[in-house]
Amino acid sequence: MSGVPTPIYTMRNGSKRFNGICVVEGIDLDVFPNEIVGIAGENGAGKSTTLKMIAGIHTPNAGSMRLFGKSFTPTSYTEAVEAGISMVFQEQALIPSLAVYENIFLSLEANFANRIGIVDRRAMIAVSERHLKDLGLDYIDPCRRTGDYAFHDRQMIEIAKAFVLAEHCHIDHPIILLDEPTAAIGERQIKILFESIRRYRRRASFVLITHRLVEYVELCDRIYVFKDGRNVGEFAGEQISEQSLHRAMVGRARDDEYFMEKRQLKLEGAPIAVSVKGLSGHNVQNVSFELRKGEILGIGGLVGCGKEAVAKAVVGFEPFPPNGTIEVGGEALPLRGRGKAAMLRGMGFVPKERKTEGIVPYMSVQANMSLASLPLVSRLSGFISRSRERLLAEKYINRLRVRCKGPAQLCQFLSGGNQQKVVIAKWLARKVQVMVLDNPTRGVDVGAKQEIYGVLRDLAEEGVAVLLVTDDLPELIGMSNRILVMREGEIQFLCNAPADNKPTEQELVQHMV
Amino acid sequence: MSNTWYEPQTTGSTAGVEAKVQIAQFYNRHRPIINAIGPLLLLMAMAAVFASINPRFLSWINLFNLMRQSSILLIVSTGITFVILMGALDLSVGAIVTLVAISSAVLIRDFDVGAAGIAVAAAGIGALCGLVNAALVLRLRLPSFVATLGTMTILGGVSTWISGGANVFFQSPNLTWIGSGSVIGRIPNSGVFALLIFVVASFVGARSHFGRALFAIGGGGLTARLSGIDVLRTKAAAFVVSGMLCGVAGLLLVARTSTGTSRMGDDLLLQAIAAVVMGGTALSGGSGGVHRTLTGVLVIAVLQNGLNIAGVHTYLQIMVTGLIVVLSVTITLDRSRLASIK
Amino acid sequence: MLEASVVGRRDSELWRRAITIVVFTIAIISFGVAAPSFFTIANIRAIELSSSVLLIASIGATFVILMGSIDLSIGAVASFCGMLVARLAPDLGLWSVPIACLVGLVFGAINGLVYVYLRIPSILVTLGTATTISGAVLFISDGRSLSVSHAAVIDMAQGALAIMVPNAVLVSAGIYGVAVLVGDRTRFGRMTLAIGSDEQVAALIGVKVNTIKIQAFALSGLLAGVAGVLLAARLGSATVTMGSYMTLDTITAVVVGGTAITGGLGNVRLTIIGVLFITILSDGMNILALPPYLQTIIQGTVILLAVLLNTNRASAEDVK
Ligand SMILES: Nc1ncnc2c1ncn2[C@@H]1O[C@H](COP(=O)(O)OP(=O)(O)OP(=O)(O)O)[C@@H](O)[C@H]1O
Ligand SMILES: [Mg+2]
Repeated sequence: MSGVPTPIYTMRNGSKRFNGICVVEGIDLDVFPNEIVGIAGENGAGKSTTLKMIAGIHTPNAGSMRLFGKSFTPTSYTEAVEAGISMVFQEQALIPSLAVYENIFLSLEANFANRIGIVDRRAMIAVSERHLKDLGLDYIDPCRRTGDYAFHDRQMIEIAKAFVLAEHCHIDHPIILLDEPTAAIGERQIKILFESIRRYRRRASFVLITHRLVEYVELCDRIYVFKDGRNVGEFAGEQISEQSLHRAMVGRARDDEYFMEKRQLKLEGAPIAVSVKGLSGHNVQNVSFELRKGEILGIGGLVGCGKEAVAKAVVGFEPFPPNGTIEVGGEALPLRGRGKAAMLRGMGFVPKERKTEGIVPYMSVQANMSLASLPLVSRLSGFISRSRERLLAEKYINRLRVRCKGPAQLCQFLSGGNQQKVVIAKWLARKVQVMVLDNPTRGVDVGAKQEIYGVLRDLAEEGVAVLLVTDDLPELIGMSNRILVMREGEIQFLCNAPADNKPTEQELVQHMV
Repeated sequence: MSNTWYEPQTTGSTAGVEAKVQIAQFYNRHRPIINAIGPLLLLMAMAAVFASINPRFLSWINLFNLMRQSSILLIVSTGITFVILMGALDLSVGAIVTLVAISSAVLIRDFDVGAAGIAVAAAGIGALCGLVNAALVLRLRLPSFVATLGTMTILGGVSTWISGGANVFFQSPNLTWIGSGSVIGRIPNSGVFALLIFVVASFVGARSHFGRALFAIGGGGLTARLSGIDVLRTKAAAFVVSGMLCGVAGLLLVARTSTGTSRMGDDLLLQAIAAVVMGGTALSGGSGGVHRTLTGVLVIAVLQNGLNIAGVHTYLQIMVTGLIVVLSVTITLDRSRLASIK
Repeated sequence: MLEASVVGRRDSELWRRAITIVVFTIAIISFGVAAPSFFTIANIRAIELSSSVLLIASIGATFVILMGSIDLSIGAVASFCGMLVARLAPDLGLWSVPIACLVGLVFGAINGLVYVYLRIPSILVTLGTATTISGAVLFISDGRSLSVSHAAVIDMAQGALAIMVPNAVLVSAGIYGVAVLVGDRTRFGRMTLAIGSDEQVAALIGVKVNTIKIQAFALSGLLAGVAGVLLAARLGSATVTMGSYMTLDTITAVVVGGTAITGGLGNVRLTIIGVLFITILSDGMNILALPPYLQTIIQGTVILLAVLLNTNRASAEDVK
């Protein structure tokens, strides 16, 4: 390349306020041709807001944008798409009751319509099919209801959608914005996605947000670091490493003790808290294991291997595998009313789909935190005491460092990572005996991740049995006392992972595929 | 800066922007107060207008009259608020009121049941209807809108059947006293009774585990279930409470006139829904509160009473009612917690 | 496993449809056996006419309900437009028809505008306008019935190109055909579904939510107007509350047709099932001369059964 290349997209002094409160301010951002740019930052730093400004969803309160050398002021996402910008949304923007292809082209039907507005369904299906195949998603039927697919498949549909739109609008060099695309998908899909990104970058640019720093190192040419809505650093080429990014985001170097392995307990002879016997059905085959007090048992495996089903079964969530028993504290859970019984015996569950299973968005932080432990915040009369409830909330806001305006703020307006902390707080407040977590650090920034790991270690030290189901290999290895690997619904491999002798990623992966 | 496209906001008048920001912040900080004052001002304005047309509007007699008129609507609206809070709807409230009113009348006329017995029977019939609704929604998994649409129609038929299609006259001094008499000064019993129910229900809605569970279910059913809340039981309880309160309302209604007429409670359905929404409880569930419903009830009651007293021509009265309903919702509705308005 | 569950669901959907049709046929046949006058040409014509009127109004209601909103003003608008035709026909002749329909459109558009820009739940907006409009009907009619005294207007509903097919049926069939196409194959149809399913996401993606909402309500008003005009033409006279039955019957028809009252699920095509269901049932019970209270009880029970049969309740995670 000769001379200084010109950026295809620039943002200068981009700022956005919500209700008078500044969320991002003075952001400068360039995207060069064929480049993969990263935006790193803590939860609530304003990364998604910035991407949404680029994609025309939020109109900046100040600042300017240029695209392909022309001023660019999109007023809706559709406009941005037609100008060559498409986006993968952090909280999937898919309509569950529409078919996959309808979702992909939603609000762009005009491109397939004839003169009287009747759309050409067959063409839409064909285009969708071709692109889904490109992303290795040939098993997804474009005509089926989107809501019928599992969470991770929907995430891939969301990604495919961005690629299709980029291609479809006949822009020479589209820009694809990826807001935490890998948060909900497994290793294999991540690999496919990264291959596609590398393939596409010959004719497109990308902006990537992720909370797995490795992914920045692997993909990005340049990274902006955001803090409190401001641009505080830029890394390029050689400077990019997990250490440097961590320091820039959190303010201190990443200690070797990220997973706090030193605090891992030795558990010879600890009493059994949960014992699962012969669980079969619903995508799970003959799963048996024991979980001891103070133990962190990790379950790994590819997406769709049945580990989520096991987590849900343990907390008695329907649909429940028809066969097998689950004993908590030596007593089997009853067949009817399992969920209730599991909760009563001190089980807590941090689910994967935070938005619909974890929080009640239009309830305050304090109401969300006390939801599972109402008796604890009630007076003798049985009625809830506001002051006790607030005290409880304040305690956990401090302990987990939840960033919010106060206990009365609605959960809806918290950033993803902070919502996750609220879900965890809900169960901490209840003083659980057994904690089941499904990807507890999904979408959580590195700093907060470490805080959550600290909480898990605390729990284990208090004698709580922890079942950790996760897609994140380093987390699985770093946190667990023992690791179960599942494949196609069966337990494939079980190994000890003492603090001084952790298995390697390769060892585990080899049992997953 | 040469290439600024959002110029008016950046460099234009910073003072303007500042003012806007300050207004927004002020609103955010004092939102609860502002939202409470709005309806109050509306009520005062309405009262002022009616009083200026006819000073009799503010006489004690009329105010007590107003209280008596609104008591039944208040009880029904209180009941339906519980159901609406969890995102469901109970379309059968009006039909239950009618049914209870007519069956009470028949019980007194033909079977000579005493006042206490009638009270139990009324609440019981109401609760039973609520239980049927609950069974349809929870066991058969019918959407509450449809299930209660069905029971509304069926109960309407049952009422006509019981009454034999004619008005049911009866005499019961005790009941008349409950409905129209007064213990505390000249304040009507029915009004006191309704306020009592309302206060208790408000407290239950705001502070009890049941109330909290309703909010959680309305705001996110799956989360509620995964947090150990007994969703089925809570939902069933809400329908039963709604039905029972309708039973009480039906008894008060029939006590006032000593006549059971067909369809006598049917109008209450839309009025109750309007009152709840006017108060600021979202039909989608999960936000609002039982205590808010009073505002809506008062607006509707003042409107009806005032238009009557002002002697507005009937046709015009109907037209104005519709407009004012829309207008008052515009003022009273707290939209800050509504994800989307349906 | 996903495959299996989805295929299973499709199968059960087919089953449900089949059962609905069978039940439907049995009901019709038993009416015919019980009351010989059920299958007379006059009665079939009556069913055709009343179901065409209801179908037109229900089509508008379907789009509104698909968005998750509700239109309670359909009955009032229909009454008003019917009355307006009766009032204007002596002077304007056939011109009164498009004028009345246009008035319906305006009412619908007002509903939509108030709903969107004053941000009031549609159930209340339309409740308010319904009240106001029903007051207005009293105003223009002075509380009396008017006869439609213009042959061409009456002919619009009662006249027939073919012997068994009154004009009203042709009109409603045409509207139905267009509506099905609009629902399945156009931007508008898809957007209403998207809004009903998840309005926030729809807005995020760039769906012009406000425009679509206003359009849907305007359409509902227009079709309510058309239905009212046809009703007046069919009856030969207009009464103050002649359309009020439509408010509830349209909702029932839509829901019995399998559209979720919460929006986002269903389509216009099946609304016709609900319409026929309601009309044939009430006609049959009338012919059998069942006492009115029994008719109501049966009607309520049948609504419950029909919805039970015709909706996919398994897919609704959380029944509201
Ligand atoms: N619509 C909104 N109204 C009010 N506040 C908002 C809104 N959207 C975002 N915010 C606030 O703006 C801040 C930045 O949010 P944003 O979603 O951009 O964070 P983020 O960097 O993407 O975080 P995460 O990593 O958790 O996704 C947060 O504090 C959030 O609470
Ligand atoms: Mg984000």
